Amino acid sequence: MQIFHHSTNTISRVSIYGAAFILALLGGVLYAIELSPIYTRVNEAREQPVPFSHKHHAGELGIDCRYCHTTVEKSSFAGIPPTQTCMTCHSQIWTKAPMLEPVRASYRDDKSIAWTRVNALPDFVYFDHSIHISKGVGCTTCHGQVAEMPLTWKANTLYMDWCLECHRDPAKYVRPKSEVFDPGYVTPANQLELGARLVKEYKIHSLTNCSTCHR
Amino acid sequence: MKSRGQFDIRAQREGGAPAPVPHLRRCGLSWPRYAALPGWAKLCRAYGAGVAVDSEVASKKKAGGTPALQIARAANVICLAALALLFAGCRMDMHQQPKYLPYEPTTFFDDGRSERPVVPGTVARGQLRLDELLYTGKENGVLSNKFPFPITRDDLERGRQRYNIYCTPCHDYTGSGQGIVVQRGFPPPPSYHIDRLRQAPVGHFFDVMSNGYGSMYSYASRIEPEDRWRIAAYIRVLQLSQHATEQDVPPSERPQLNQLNAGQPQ
Repeated sequence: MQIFHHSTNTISRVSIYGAAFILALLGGVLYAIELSPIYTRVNEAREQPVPFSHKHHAGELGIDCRYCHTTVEKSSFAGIPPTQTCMTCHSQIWTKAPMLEPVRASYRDDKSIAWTRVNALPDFVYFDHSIHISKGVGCTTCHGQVAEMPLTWKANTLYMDWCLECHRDPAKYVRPKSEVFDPGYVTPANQLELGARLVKEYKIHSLTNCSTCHR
Repeated sequence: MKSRGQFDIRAQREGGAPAPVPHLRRCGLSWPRYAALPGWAKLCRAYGAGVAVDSEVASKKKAGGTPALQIARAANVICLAALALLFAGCRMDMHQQPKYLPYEPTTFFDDGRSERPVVPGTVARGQLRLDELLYTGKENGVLSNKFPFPITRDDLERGRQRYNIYCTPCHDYTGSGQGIVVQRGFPPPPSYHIDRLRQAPVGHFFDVMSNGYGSMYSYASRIEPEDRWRIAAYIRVLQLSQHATEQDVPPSERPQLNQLNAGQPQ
């Protein structure tokens, strides 16, 4: 009994092989999406419970990064300031601002403010802020022009190939230790020359072992 | 969902709004993960069956399956393998391990914090803090004018750096109390150069940094005790600098001073 016409064989074969190509194309599209801001959320200003502006605090007022991110020099974690740090100033200024009500409520009721995390790494990456700071990697090298961000966004993908860009050749990015916290630092024209000197002076090894970051 | 035991960080909190944990949503492609797979597999199998039924008529005497059937099976396997590869990329087990990173929220405790406050009276190893002068700035309960350790040039440099980070927003770079936050409306602190503070024992500055004073909050959680002493030492430097004469400058440095002051009224 002939259920299908003979041409059905051709159609089914073509569609089976075609499916492989369609899948490959789909894979390619997914890969492109993974690299694009749709997925990485690079340059996307994130909404926060309080519209905290680094532009105002770090840029216009010139408050040092470490005033709030106190553990960045000695810990793997830079530190999100406790509400007490906000209230150090805001117990006295902008005390009636409705925008700051979540901060006051947090301090009053001893409840944490649930900030939206902007820069996150997978749990299998053991990144350490302190070693990068003490070897001359500036805040803005990874976090971008934070002092110009009204709402904070991620400046880089934080993908492994991005990390390796510097781990393979730190001379391209290292700056003098005195300039690490300068939000307005401009890479000098002789960066490669300066970088090479600093890499030697700070005893920086280009660390590309898997176990440098993965444990 | 309790697949990770009672510490499941994705479970909703009972009795109340679900705690927002937006940073845990790390896989933007989670939607097709389960829904798409059976559909595609069924489709592939249907193709394979269709080819098999058709070609059996043509060459049913060949043993071990027809070539068309083999191709269909191979295509089926390829399709499934490709799908498996595609969606294997969406497994996030290692991305979100069942452990708490700093400040990661939890549903286990009522306040939603995974980091627990220590029980009052707990003494952490190495934190006994018996040295009254070093940790309170006092000797026998009275503010002391002594430093708990000798202050070197390096300590002063460190003190200047820490002062510039934590104190300048209000006290400004010279210590006159006109920092940027004061310019924006914060009650001005007294200048370090008034007589009361020039006479104050150095322990007073340590005590204020540790416990706060007036509208100034405590900085104990932000500045280590040793650094608070270094800042206190640097405040003494600022006080000296505002009441110094040319005679206080070593003769070798005076030309430099005159050079710096060249354009300014004496």
